[in-house]
Amino acid sequence: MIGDIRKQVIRSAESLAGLVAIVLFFVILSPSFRQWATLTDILEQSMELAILAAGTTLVLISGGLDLSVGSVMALCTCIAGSLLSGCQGQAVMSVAPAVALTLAAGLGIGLVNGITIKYTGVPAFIVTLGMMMIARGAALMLAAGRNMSDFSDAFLVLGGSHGYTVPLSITAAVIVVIALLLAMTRFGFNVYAIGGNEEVARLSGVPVKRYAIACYALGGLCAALAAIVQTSRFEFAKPNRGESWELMAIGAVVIGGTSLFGGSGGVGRTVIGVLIIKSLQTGLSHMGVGSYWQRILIGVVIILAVWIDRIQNRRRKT
Amino acid sequence: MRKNAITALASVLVVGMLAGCGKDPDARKKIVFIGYSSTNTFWITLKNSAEKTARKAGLDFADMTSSDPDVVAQKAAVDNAIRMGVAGLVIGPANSEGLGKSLDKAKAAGIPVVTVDTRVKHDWISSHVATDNVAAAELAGDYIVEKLGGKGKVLIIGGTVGVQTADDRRGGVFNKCKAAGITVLDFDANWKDDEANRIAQEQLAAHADIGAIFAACDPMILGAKVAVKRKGLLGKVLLVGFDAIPEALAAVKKGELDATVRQDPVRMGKEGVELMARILKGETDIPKSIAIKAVIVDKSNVDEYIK
Repeated sequence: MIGDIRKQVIRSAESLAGLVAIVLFFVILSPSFRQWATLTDILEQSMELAILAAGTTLVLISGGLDLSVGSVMALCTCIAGSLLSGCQGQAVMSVAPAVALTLAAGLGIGLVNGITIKYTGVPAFIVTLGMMMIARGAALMLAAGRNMSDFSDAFLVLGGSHGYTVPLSITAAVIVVIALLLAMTRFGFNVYAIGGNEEVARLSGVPVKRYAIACYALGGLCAALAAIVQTSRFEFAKPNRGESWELMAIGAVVIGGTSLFGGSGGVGRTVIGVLIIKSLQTGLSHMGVGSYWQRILIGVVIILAVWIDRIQNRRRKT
Repeated sequence: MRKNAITALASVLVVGMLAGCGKDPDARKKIVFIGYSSTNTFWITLKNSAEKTARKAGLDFADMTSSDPDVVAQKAAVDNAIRMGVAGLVIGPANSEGLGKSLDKAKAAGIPVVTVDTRVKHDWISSHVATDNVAAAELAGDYIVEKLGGKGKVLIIGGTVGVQTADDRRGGVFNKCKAAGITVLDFDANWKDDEANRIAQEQLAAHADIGAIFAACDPMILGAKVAVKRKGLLGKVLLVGFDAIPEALAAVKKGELDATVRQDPVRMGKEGVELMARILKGETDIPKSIAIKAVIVDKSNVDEYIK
């Protein structure tokens, strides 16, 4: 156990070193990158992906996989958008119940994913792939011919209309809660156990299904929360949000050093992973490199991160 | 088992096709409309206009648009329509390729086809109705050049490289700005508002002298607007979008967006069906294409377009 923690700290230090190296690279090469505003720019651009990826971390540690979260974001955006649009007294409901309903929708879809996977035996890849299409279809249906904007100020605060302290605090809260959940509670202990070896966990009396389902539900909840922050920040809802975000989230988790196969990792590292992706994008953008090259380089970084991880693991064993 | 199912399906299709051939010559002629997407505001407006025009021309009208812009679904719809034995097809293609085989079938059945918006390369297309995207984007380009008065760079946020519409819109503004000697920062955001938001935020930080931002569709300019607002530059950076979606018109009215380019879906639907009606009457002087003019919507005329 002590050895595990030591390994985790070392691994986090490695990804942090990667982040520092990337930032230093751009600080040296790009004069416009060298200003404080860049830091806040990167943090602001990271919020929604960080919230989403925090949920993905939980699912991956438990040995699961959720491909539907990007589409769930889109569906939740459209739910919040259709409940809240029209601040001139035509909104369906006030902000608090609308937000609660949206979060419940995300949580509910996560639950459906988890229950289907655990009780039908259909692989997580297939179930969540199906849910990815279902949620996207539902989002498009909900958005059909509807104008989802003109939100009340009480909602716009969540996305930063009065400064980015509010959405950044929401993001930080999500990360801290999930980190504490993983590190300090029986829940967290069992999630690592299930991800490490489900059969062993089951034989030692862990209610495996219940914990795994809870992870999918929390992942869905995170997607809903990311959608709420983003909808509020952009001041309108669109059904094409979150396209391929599930993969970007998995990318961030993996760059951070959480295993794709469950049992190890942590949400702090995922934050580093998100910051690595966003710093790369921002830095390249400052140097005038277009979005196609940005994508190629992020792909290279994902592969490199896992490769370095493997080399280090082998070295530690011998 | 599977083989049997396929045989059964095939025979149903063949019987269906044969049944379609037995048309009643006295029946009202029926045209089928297959649009780009049934959930998109622009296309809903276009379809409604097409339907109205068809009624006026004494034609039966059926809408077979699917919710997603999906070329496979469109092919299936075209094949179905041919089997139904329709008189004519009005199609808003999901992309420039991919419909080929189904158009071959229409050709074999002698059913005329008019396309709207996206052009398809096929010898059977009777006529094509579209906004000239280059000309429309040049309108936006002229607007930006005039308002800037020679000060500042222009950030162009394009759609997806290789898609004709995206290339045309980007190109129209790019050429006008270049001709006026303005420095252009050229990026693509794949039609996505979140990517446009990020690019705008980064470029505003990297270049303090950006005077205007053009985005190839409205959601992208609205995403960029959030970044401009965040940096306290609203009103200092000219923002021009494309499509005149309701959210963008509201933003123009509020003064947060300077202008957007409005295509004319009502006229596109009307012209498309009118062309089809003329073809079905047997007229021969059908123009190969009709270009619909776009307009710039800004604060001065936005009230005309808000419902």
